[in-house]
Amino acid sequence: MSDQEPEIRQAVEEWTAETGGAGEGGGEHPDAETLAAYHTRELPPAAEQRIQDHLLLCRECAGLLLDLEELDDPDFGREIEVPAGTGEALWDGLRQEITRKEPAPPAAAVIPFPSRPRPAPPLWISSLVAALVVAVIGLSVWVASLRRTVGELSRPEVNSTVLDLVPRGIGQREGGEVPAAVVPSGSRMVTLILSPARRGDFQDYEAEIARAAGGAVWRERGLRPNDYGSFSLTLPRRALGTGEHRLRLFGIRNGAREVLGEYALRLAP
Amino acid sequence: MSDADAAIQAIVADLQAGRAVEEGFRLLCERFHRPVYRFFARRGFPEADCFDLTQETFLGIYRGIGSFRRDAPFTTWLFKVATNAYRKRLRLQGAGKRAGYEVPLSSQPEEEDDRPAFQPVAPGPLPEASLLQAERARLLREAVHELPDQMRKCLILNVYHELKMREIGQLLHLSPETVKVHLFQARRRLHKALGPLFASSMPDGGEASS
Repeated sequence: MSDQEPEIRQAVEEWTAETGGAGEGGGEHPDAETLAAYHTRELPPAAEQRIQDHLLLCRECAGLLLDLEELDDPDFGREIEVPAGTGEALWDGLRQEITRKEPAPPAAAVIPFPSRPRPAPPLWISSLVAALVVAVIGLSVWVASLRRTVGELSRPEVNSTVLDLVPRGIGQREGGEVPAAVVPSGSRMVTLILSPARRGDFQDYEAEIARAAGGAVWRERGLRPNDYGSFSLTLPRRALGTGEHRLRLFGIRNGAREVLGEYALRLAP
Repeated sequence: MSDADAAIQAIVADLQAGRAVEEGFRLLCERFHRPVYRFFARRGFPEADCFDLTQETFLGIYRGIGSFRRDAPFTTWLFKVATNAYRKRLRLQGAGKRAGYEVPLSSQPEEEDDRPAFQPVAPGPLPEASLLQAERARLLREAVHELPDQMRKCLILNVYHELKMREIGQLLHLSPETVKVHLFQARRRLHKALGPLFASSMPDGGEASS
C-alpha cells in the first residue's frame, strides 16, 4: 500500500458522502426481483446504471448481489459454521408441511345428495311450447270433426231431399211469386235441380248460394248442364245453415257473368 | 448448464409435476440449507433467527414451486425468496439497516466509565500543515470527481467497500483484469492531480487486494 492510500480513502469517502449518502443510502433499495434481474443482465442499460449507482452507496445491496454470485457454491460462507442437526431439523419442519392433510369428514355423517340446480328456461321457449300444445289440441279437434263429417257424408241416405227449383220471374209471369223451396231439417244431403230462366251459349256456369240478408255461403264454378239443359247440385245440409237463402245461377262468357236464374231457398231449422 | 444444475432442474421439474414431492424437497433441503443459513448469518442474524429464516425460505420454495420458471437458475430464484424473507424480517423488526441489532448498554466495556470527565486537547498539526492537508484533500476529491465513470466506480468499491477485484468485477459485470487496470489508472490520475503535493510519486498498482 502506498503512503497516500489513507488520503485516497478519505477523499473517496468524502466524495461519496457529498454525492450520494453516507454508505447505506443511495435511495430506496431495489427489490429482490430487480437485483436478480441485474445479476442475470436482464435490465435495460438505464436501469442497470441506476443499480450500479446504488451499489456504490449501499453495502447491503452490494453484499446481497455478491452472495447471489456464490449461493450456488457449496462452500459459500464456509467460514460460518452451520450448527449440527440444522438440516435434519429443517427437513422435519418442511416434511410436516408437505405431508399435512386436511381432516377427513366424520364417517357417520350423512351428506344429502345435492339436487342438481336446473336453470330456468328462457321465456320464449315456454311461450313456444304453450303455443305448440294449443295448436296440437286444436288440430286434434279439427281432425276429429272432419272424420265425423266424412263419416256422415259417406253414410248412404235413403229418401234424400231433392228439390226442383223454379227460377223467379217464371212464376210471376204465370200470376204469382214462386214460393221458396224448403229444405227439411232432418235431411243430411239435399239435391237441387236448377232450371235456368234463359239459355245461351256460355263457356262455363257457376252457382252461388247467399243468405237473404247478404253474404255468400257457398259458390262453385264448373257446372255443366244435363241433357235437359238443367243443372243439379248435391250439397250437405249443414253447409248451408238455416233460414232464407237466395241461389243464383250464372253463365260465364268471355269472363263476364250473366244471371241465368235466381231461386229462393228456405232451410228449416 | 453443469450436471449439478441439470440435476437440480430435474428435481424442480418433478416437483412442479407433483412427482416424488417429499424426496425432491428433501434433496433440495440437503443441498441448499447450508448456503441459505449462511446467507442469513452473513447479514448478522443470530443462530435462532438464521434457522427460522432458512425454514421460511424453504417453505416459500415449497409453496411457490409452481411459479418458478425453469429458464432461470434455481439459485437465482432461491436468492429472491431468501432476500424477500430477509427484508420482511427487517421490516418486522423495524430496522431498515443491515445488522441493526441492539446491544444492551450493560455490555459496553466498563473501562469507558473510568475515563476522566475532562480530557486535555491532543496536540494537533501546525496551522501550515493543516492548510496543506486541506488542500490535498480538496484536490483529491476533485480528482475523484473527474475520473471516468467506470473507473470511479471501481475505485469506490475497492476503497470504500473494500471489495476485491473479483467481487468488483462481479458487481459491475467486468473482468477482474479490467478492474485491475481501472484501479491502477485511477490511482495514477489521483497522484498526478496532486503532483508535488504528494509525498511519494507513483502507486505500486498492486495495493488492491485480489
